[in-house]
Amino acid sequence: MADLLNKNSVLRKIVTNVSGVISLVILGIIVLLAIFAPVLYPDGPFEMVGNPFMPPFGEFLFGTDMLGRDIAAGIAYGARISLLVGLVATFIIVLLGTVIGGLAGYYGGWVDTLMMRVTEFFQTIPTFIGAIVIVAILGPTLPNVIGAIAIVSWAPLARLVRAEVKKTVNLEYIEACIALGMSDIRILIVQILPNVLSTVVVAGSLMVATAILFESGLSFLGLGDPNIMTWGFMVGAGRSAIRTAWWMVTIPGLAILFTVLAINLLGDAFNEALNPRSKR
Amino acid sequence: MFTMRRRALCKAVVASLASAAMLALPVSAEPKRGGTVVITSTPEPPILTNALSSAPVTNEVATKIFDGLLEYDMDLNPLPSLATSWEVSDDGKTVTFNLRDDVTWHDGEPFTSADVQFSLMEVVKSHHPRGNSNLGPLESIDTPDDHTAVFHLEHPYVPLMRALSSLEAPIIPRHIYEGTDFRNNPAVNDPIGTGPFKFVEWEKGNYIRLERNDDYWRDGMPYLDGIIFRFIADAATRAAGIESGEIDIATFGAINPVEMRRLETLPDISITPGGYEGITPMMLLELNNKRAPFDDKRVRQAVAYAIDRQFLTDRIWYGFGTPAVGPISSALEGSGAFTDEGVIDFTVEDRLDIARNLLDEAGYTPDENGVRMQIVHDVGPFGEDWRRMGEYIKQALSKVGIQVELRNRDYPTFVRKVHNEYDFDMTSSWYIGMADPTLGVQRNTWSETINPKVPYGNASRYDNPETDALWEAAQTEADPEKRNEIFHDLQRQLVEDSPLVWLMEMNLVAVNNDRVHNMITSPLGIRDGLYDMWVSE
Repeated sequence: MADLLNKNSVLRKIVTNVSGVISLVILGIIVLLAIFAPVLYPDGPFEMVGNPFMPPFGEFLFGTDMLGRDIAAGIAYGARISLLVGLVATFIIVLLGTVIGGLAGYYGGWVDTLMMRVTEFFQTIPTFIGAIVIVAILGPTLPNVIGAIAIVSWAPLARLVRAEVKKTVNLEYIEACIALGMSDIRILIVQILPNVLSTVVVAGSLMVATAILFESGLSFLGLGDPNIMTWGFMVGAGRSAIRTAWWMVTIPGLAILFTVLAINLLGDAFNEALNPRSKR
Repeated sequence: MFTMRRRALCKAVVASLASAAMLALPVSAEPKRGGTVVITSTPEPPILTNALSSAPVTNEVATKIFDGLLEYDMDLNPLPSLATSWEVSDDGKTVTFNLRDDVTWHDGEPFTSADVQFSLMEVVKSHHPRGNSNLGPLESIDTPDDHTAVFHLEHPYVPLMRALSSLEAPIIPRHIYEGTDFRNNPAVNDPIGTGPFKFVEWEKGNYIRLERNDDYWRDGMPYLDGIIFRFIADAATRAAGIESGEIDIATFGAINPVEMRRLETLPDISITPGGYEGITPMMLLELNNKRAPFDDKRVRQAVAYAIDRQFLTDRIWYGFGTPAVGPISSALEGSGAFTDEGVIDFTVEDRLDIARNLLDEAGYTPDENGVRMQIVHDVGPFGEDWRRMGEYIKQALSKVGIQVELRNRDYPTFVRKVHNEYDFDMTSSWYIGMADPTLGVQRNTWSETINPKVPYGNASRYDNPETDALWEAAQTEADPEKRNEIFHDLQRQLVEDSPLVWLMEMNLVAVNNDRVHNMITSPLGIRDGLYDMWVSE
C-alpha cells in the first residue's frame, strides 16, 4: 500500500510524471498570479483603466473589456476566487463525504441505511440545477456560492468513502483492533482513514476542478457575487460582445480551461503515484 | 487631357447620382401594398389587450389591433383617429369628440360612442395601470348620439388630450366585454378591435400573427398583408435573425446594445432614429430619502455630481440615449415643458471636487482608506447592461469616497424590497415619462404617490410641500404657457433637491432591415398602428 505520509515518495512520483509536471507548472503560475494580483494591479479588477474594446497584446496584455477594464487584472483577481472556491468547497465536500461515508460504512445497519437514504436524496437532485436553486434562494454572495457547490457535490464522495470503508472494515486486522478493545473513533481515524485516504485525495483533487467549473457556470449565469471579479463572470459579461471582441470571452475561458485541465492532470498524477498497480 | 477626363468623370458621376436620385425618389415615396413584416420583441406578452395592462410588449402588439380616439404628431399635438374633430369648452371642463361613422369592429359590429364611453369609464380608467393618471379628472362621458362623445371633467386637465392614443387609452368593444369579468373574458387573448390589423393566432412561446384588416377605415391602408411577432429566447439568435433577413425589425431590448451597433454597420440594416418622443423613457437612480445617508440633500447631490452621464451614455448604453438634465426629458422641448435654464448642471468640469466638498459639509469625512460611507446598490433587475451600469456606478462613487456594495435581486424580490418595503439605499430603474409630465414624471416625486401597494410610484418617498403644490397646480392649469412655467420651476427645484438622480433619456430605437419603409412616423414609433408601414423587395 502506498503511504501518503511518506510525502517524498509520492511527490517524487508526481514530479517524474510528465502530466504531473505540466500541471504543477500551470498551477504554480496561477497561484503566483493569485498571490501577487494586488501587487501587479493595485487598482483592482473593476477599475476602468483604458478605452473599452482594446484588443489584446497592445497597450494592455489581454486587452480591455466593454467598460475599459484591464482583462489581465480580471484574470489575476479571478484566479484568487477560483482557487478559493475550489479549495474551500472541496474541503467542505471532503469533510462531509468522509464523515458521512466513514460512519455509514463502519457501522452499517440502520446508521448506514439512514445515511445512504439521505445521501441518495442529495444524489437525485441534478447538481448544477440544485446549485442554481440554492444560490437563487439565498442570494448571490461568495459564501452562498461555495456552500451551494459543496451541498450538491458531497454525496458521490460519501458513497465512494463508504464503499472503501466497507471493504476495509472486514479485514482481519480491524477485527484484531476490535478484539484489542480499541474505540470506534480510534479505529476509524488511525486504522481505516489512512487506507481510504488515497481514494479521497484523488477524488478530492478532481472535486477542486469541478467546483471551479461550477463557480464559473454560476457566475456566467449572473448568479455570482456582483462585487467579485471571476472568470465565469468575465465570460458571461463578454458573451454579448463575442462577435465584436473575441478576447473578452476567450481569455478568461482559456484561464478556466488551463486551470481545470491542470487540476485534472494533477489528479491523474496523484492516482498513478498512489495506486500500487501502476508501478512499472 | 487629364482635366478633360476628370471633368467628364465628374459629369458622369453627377449624372449617375441624379439619375439614381430620380430613380430612388419615386420608389421610396410610393408605398407598395403587400408583404409581411416580422418583428421580434422580448419577453412574450402576458396578455394581448392593452386596456388592461401596460406591459411593453402587450402595447407593441395591441396598438396594431386597437385604435385610440387620437393620434399625435412629432410635437405631440393631437391628430384625428377614431375622433374626427373635438372641441374644448371655454372653462376647459367639457370636451366634445365627433367620432367616425364608418368604423366597424373586426367582427363586423359597428363602432359607436357607447364603445368609447364603456372603454374609458368602465375599463381603462379603473383597470389600466396608468388609467387614473391619464383619465383621473374624467367624471363622465355622455353619448347624445352614436357618433358624439362628450367628456365631463372635474377640472381642466390638459394632459388628457395627450393620453388618448391607442397606447394609453385603446377603445375596446362594449358588445363583447359588457357585463363580463374583463380579465377573464376570452377576448383578452383573442382581441377584437377596430385597428389596421386583425388578430389571427398566438402560438405561445413562438409567435403572434396579425393579418390585414380589409375593412380598415383608412382607405387603402394598411399597406402590409400582415405582421408576425416572433418570440425567441436567446438574444444572440434574435441578432442572427436580423442579420440573415429572417426578421425585419427588432425592438429595443431584444438585442444587446453592443450588437445593435455591430448590426447597424451591415449594408441592409439600419437603426431608424426616433419613435419614443411620446413615451420619453428616463433612466434614473432612486435614493431612499427617508434613510441615512440619502436623507441629506448634499449627499444626494454628491451622487449626482459623481456620475459621468456622458460616459454612462456612450460606454454602457453605446450611445442609445442622451445625458439627462432633470426629471423631464428634453424630448418634450417641442411642447415647451422642458428647460435647463437655472437647473443645476452636474456635468461641470470640477464635479468630483464639488461632490467631495458636499460630502465634507454633510459630515461624511473620509477614514484612513478614503471611505466616507458604505451603501448598498440594488441593481435594477432588467438585464446584463444594467448590471454593468451598476459596476460603473460603484467605481464612479468610489472616486468620491462612497463605497458601494452591489446586490442583484430577482425581479419579485426587487419589487417587494424596494417598492413595497422601502428597504434599500439606492436602486437603478427607469420610468416612462409619457407625453406630458403630469402623466409620467409626477408619480416619482409627488407625495400622494407614496403607496407601498402600487409599485413604481414615489419609491424614494420624497415629500416636499412646495413641489407637491407645483405638481397639483400643473394638473388643473388650463393655460399651456403657465403650465410650462410650472414645469420649469419643478425642474429647478427637483434637481436642486435631487431626491432621485436622473441619468439618461433613453432612446428606445429599433433595429430594422432596409426593406421596411415608414419605420417611424409617429412619436410612438414601433408602438403605434403601423398602418402606413410598407416593404420593398
